[in-house]
Amino acid sequence: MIYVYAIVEGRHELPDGLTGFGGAPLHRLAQGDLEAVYSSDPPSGVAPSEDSLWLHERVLEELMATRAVLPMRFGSTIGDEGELRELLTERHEQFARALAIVRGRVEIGVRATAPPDDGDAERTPASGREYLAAKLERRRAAARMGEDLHAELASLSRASRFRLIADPRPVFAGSYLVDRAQVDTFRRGFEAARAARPGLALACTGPWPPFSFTDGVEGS
Amino acid sequence: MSTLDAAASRELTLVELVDRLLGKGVVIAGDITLAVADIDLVKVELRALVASVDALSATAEVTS
Repeated sequence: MIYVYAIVEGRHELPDGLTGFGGAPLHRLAQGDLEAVYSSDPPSGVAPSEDSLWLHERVLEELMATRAVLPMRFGSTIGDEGELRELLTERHEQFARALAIVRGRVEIGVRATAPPDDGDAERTPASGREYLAAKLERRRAAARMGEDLHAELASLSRASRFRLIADPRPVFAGSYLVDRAQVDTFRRGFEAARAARPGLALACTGPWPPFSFTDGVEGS
Repeated sequence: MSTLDAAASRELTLVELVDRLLGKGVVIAGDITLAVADIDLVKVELRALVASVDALSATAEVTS
């Protein structure tokens, strides 16, 4: 089995000294103008843990310094180089489109939540109807919180995605694809968005490899 | 980048890391087998998510 870290734009050397799980050397498999970066999967596989997630992440960050990268989900293994070549061939168009979109860009994450109302969680619903009404109101509150924030941040990015979690409390999680040269501008825009929303808790993470933008679809 | 203290910042970064590495990125078709380890990790993410919400909320209380 081989462990695949990323689909990348081809013809760039691997960073010196960069290794994968178990210290295994990294390899590139080229198919047209695309490459896959992989290593031999350790015999007992790779168990997910904070350390192993960071190892996968660091391989991506190193690669990203010198080429456009589409991150693989953690734990992506495939039988052998032949199957990997098939993957690159079958999905060449999607990968090429996605690489063109992410080239020279990074992903910034934004999370927002409304602090809990005192007594909110403790109130037990008197009826099924009250329970459902409260649930619906939480979903609407999450949507109100997220959509206007997203519109503001999306205008500062090349592409964007978001999702809303309504339970147990409203949480907004957005991902913004930003030109490297525009990251500072985005951060200033984030700070302005936060200053304008004193009732919300907002935080920004990244830059990340473009995990949210591997589908080859533009826009938000 | 944010006014979170170091511990809250670390928790948030972990949530964002798990969210991306386990929930996003390119997926090899047919590779989605939900094993016991995966279920445990979903629980880790949910716990960390709740922790990050608490951390973010604590910041809002401090700064407002």
